[in-house]
Amino acid sequence: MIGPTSRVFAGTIGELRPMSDWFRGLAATAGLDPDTVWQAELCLNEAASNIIQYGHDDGAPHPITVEIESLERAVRMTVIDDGRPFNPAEPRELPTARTIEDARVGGLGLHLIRSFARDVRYRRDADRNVLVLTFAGTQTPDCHTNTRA
Amino acid sequence: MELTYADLDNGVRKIDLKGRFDIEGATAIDLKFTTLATVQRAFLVIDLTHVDFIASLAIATLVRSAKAARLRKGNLVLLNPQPNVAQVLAATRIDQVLPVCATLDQACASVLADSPRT
Repeated sequence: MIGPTSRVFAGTIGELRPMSDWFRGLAATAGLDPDTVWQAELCLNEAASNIIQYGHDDGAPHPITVEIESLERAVRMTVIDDGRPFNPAEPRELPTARTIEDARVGGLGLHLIRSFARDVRYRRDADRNVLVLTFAGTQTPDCHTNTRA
Repeated sequence: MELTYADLDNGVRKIDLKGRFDIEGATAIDLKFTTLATVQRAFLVIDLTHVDFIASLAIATLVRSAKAARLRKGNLVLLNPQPNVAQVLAATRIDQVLPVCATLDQACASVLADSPRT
């Protein structure tokens, strides 16, 4: 088993791309397959965006911790924040629209997470939200170092 | 994210997007995109050929613009998304209410044919 890599990001919109760059760098080093990479990157982006936009009422940035861990033929991503309790794993039906006029755009990010992650788990731990996403992959990242932004 | 556009001879406005259509990209083009999409009656083809990443907020931008175009008896269709972008459109079922075309000819035919009647 290869140990996890973690990094703490400032909870701002401007940190989303560095977060993606960091993840893609790990994935490239590990030779993770491209489909897994973009699906995991998308879910990471959606989870972090949701925290930044809706997690807090004070308007101040709050740190988001991301952990990446390799499993056998899979990668596990853990996203931790201190925002209000929120369970993205809770099933929510995506409204079906027949026309563009009826289409609703709220909740699409959570739907994407549940669509592309193989497994979505949530727990509330020490006043923090802990979201664990698992993605299947043909190779896994070789993540040995812990870094902090 | 980059946005360029061209008004074609057939009355279609082709908007080319390039780059990463995430929350930052959507914010960067939002004003220009909305302006191009919502002034007068517009028949819009949104070329996604060079969009390599799309997030939910970007889909919201597309849906809002499509609704605005339809309100003005215009229309909006999507052109040539890359496979990962197409998968996101499918996962959100937006491709069931916004036509997704493989070629510009098909996109122009679709955007003009399916617009609300005046």
